Amino acid sequence: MATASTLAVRQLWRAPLRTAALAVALGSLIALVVAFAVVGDAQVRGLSGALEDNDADLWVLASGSEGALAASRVDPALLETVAAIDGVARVAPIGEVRVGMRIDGGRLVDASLWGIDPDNRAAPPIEVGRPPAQPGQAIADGADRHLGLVPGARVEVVDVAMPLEIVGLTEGRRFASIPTITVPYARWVEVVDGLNPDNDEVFPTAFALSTEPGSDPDRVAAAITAAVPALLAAPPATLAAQLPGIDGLRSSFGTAALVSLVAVAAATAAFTGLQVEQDRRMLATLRAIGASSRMLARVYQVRVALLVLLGALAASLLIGVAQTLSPPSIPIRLEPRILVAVAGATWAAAALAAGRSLRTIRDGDPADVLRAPA
Amino acid sequence: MMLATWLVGRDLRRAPSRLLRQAVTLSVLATLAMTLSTLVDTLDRRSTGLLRAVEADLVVFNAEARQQVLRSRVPAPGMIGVGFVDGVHDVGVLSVVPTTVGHAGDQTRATLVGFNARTPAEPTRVLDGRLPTDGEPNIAAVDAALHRTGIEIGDRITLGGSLDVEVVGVIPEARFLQQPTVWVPPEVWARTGARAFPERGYAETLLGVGLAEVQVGRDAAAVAEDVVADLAEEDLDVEVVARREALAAVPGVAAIRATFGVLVILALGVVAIVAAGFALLQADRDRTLHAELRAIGAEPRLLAGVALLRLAALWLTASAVAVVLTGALAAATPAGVPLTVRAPVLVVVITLLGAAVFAGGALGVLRTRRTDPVEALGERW
Repeated sequence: MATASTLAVRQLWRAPLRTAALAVALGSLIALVVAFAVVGDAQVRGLSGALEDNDADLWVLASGSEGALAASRVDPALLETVAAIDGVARVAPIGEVRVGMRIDGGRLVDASLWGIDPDNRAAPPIEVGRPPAQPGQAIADGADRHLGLVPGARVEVVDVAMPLEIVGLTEGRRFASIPTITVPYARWVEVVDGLNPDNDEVFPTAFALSTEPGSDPDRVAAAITAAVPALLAAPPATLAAQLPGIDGLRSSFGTAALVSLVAVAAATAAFTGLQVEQDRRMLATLRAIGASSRMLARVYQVRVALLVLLGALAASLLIGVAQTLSPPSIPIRLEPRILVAVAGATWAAAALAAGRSLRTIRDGDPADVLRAPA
Repeated sequence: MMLATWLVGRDLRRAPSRLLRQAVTLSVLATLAMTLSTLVDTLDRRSTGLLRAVEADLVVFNAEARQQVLRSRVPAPGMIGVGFVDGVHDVGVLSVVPTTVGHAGDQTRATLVGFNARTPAEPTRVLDGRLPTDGEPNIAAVDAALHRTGIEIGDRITLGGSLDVEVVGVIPEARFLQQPTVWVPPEVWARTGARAFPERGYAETLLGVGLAEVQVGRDAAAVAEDVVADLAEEDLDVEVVARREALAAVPGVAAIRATFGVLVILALGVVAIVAAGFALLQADRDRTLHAELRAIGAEPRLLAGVALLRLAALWLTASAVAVVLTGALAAATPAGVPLTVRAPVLVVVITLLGAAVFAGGALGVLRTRRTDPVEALGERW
């Protein structure tokens, strides 16, 4: 094995340009699969993280909204009805509205403004800073630090003279892939009322509830819908999966990653096969002068493994560069688990292709190969 | 050129399987490029199909809606006012609400679209039957996505679990936020919306978005400013944007374009580079053979022609295989996966692949031409 390794390394070393080109090509393809898998996951979280990772047991939406949070408005009078249902420990309103805002007087950006009281289980956990203690305080998702959404930042909601001060950051709780800010529910009502001065009453978007210990959330959800048909109760993660567009986006990234993986494996296998075919005469000559076909096969397999390893290293490098240079909207990061899986699949495909091509050389007569035209 | 074509033709006749063998890698790369491009195209279209189905120049939102079709509520008198603005040719209203469609015991999530017939809010194409007209009670047209679930013209469907309507037409797929659409007269939309959200007090006087067609020769941006100014005089704050801008403002579209779109463009770049490298390798493989032929007097131009024609055959074969594979993949995947093949997308990918293959091949041919036959014949195997 040592001889095979030495020979394989020397072969690669003798043609540094070709080796580098192959490693970069392989690396680009491997990096592509990793990027699709990682960014897809981040994208889905950016669209639905506020629900997907929510700690409340159940959320209650207007059944007419058909899962679209933007269309859900729940009658606040129903809060007491829901609270009285068997198994419900605590219920509180939640609000969501899309607003325009300026961070520290900067440019106008779209944002998702949430109204959730800090003591509500649905409130996002604080990773940096503290929860809002006063009406004018807010927390933001850390994914938008690059926009200046950090503790101490001052946020102005367009058309409403109620500035907010960011006092804390949460992670992974974005919504609709836009900056996501959470204020106490009472302040959210004031903001929505300020945006729509002609409205008689501000309706919450949903209710978040905790169930009593030992009670089955599914049963409680069914009881809520049975008691008030205009309401739909479900775990927040389920609602997140049903948000319009999430399913399509998830399957798009999944399909893209899968097709890319198949393409990487197939292209690597084909390249390897082509390489062996190109070296047929050399391999036949070596066999004609006594080299064992097993040794030649080993040299080739080691070479393939080394190339894939180099490709994986190139992929790590490319992902690292992308991680540094890509805008925050494309959250590329190195996921070693995915990288190893993709590199493994690539190596398996290349090794199979090399083995198949080498078998034809092992089974053939070297003299026939050498007699054939170049 | 004739001789080069004849030689390539002879070569293909002698060993047709060789071309297929060589086309495998390129076919895989082309399939990858076509699938990714189709995915991003379909994802975008399934989010914005509603606004693509109509042919308006401008979209009018109420200011608070911040360009969200689902939130927009423009008062009806405001839309009448838009029609009188100088430069506006015609105006219509499009209103949406999430709903369910019940048919033969199955329930499908959909978007209910209320629209004014014979205005810019009307879908431009009808596949079968006809479109509902304003004031017609309890009739609807469905888009092709719903039609594929088994809903036919003449069938009765239940909207929002309570309102029965008869299907009178089928329009091309016009999804909104990935959901199929049902198109109904404004009155049916208002009634269904009122049942779904009784507390919101939907009324026929509060509509969704306005769609305006600008007179020929008028600048749409200037007309948009006039509409905003005219309605402001009536104390109505509206935002008027070009349809292209409204498409980009659909929730998730900007994010999809900025992430998935950019990744797909990167992927196409990688595919182009690898395809060019592959073509270079193919041309390079025949370097020794071409040196031998040049040594015995073959014209370098003829050899270059043969190499490029062979690559052209390779490219066409790979493209054809990739079209078949992508089509098969689209047919085999569940309907939820946004993979609907469109000819323009395939043509763009085939063109890009062709450019990459010929660039790589040309580089290989140049390298071969610069090689001294004696040097090539003397090099190690």
